[in-house]
Amino acid sequence: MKRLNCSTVKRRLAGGAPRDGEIGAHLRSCPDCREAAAGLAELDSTLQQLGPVAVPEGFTEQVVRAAQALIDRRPSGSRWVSWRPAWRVPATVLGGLLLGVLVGSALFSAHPARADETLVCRIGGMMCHICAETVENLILQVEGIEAVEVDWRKGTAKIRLSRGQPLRVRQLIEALERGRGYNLEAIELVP
Amino acid sequence: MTGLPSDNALMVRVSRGDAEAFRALVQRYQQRVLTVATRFLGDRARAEEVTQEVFLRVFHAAPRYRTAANFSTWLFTIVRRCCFNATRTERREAARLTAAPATASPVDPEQQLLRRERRERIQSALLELPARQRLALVLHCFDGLTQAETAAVLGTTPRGVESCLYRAKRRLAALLEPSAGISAERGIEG
Repeated sequence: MKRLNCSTVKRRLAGGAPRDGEIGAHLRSCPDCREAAAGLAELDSTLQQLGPVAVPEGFTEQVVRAAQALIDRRPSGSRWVSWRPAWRVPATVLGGLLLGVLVGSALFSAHPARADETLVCRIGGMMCHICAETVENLILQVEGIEAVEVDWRKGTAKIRLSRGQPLRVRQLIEALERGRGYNLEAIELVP
Repeated sequence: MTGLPSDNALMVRVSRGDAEAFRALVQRYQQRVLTVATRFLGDRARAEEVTQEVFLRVFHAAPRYRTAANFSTWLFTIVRRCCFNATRTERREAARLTAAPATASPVDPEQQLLRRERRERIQSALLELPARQRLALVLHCFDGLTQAETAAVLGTTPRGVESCLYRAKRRLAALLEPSAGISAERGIEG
């Protein structure tokens, strides 16, 4: 069996490995590693002096209120209503209808793009900065998209395509669906 | 059996708009999140903001949460993102520490002062570590996450966490040695 060397033992000890088995055997025969083990134990006990941080009084309620405010800040007319399950289905249906009417069948094929083309997509369902970040990450997963700038207040995502790349609309729709609650409503070209 | 609902059961309720379930989750995890954020950022006020942001993200992402996931690993991944964002957006001016211990016991003022100074030295040394090493150390040593859990939060392997902790502790021992009487550096040096 391959014997442990000193650096492996020290690394494992730093990672919190128990001092038994092959590490224990090594420690019994190696004064240098025993010293390291003692040093690590001392360091761990020093760190423990910091202890846990006390939660201030009223903190829980503050967080719950902030969460409620997040919902209350929802822009009027927003279709992101998944917080209220009863609305989820109508929202999805409405989103689908709007998608069909506004974007049309051309959406479901790759949209041909000129070099360095910029498009603005109307995204339904965004209500806060966290939504904007989520949508941005989802859109960036779509192949051929170089950059995206999301404005949750306007409900838009400004997309810049990589040179010579088409907009893969189906991928974009699927990416937004993965976010559960967001949907593509329209696309317009920016001259 | 106390019958406390599991984290995943609470998350299912949160996704349906149950404010009580959200409150229960916040109460269950707020101290752990606040401790990690405070130790990572070294700034109590900023840590409270980050903790609130973390729970708002949990609330926000509830409809998309997959119950097959381990809630605490998922939660601390959000903590990691928020902490890293906080360090990116706001450069640290100086090591600051206002964190109070969880339980205050009546001791003589001189001893209290010494203990406070010692805590401040440790916290300042923590802030000298690179962000990734610091977070690995805070999650593993203060929050008690296992190597595998820490690896999942940091997006690395358990072996990667081990190396990260090794480097962090070696550096920390060197930083603390002159002031805190830590003799680990010589021993830990590989």
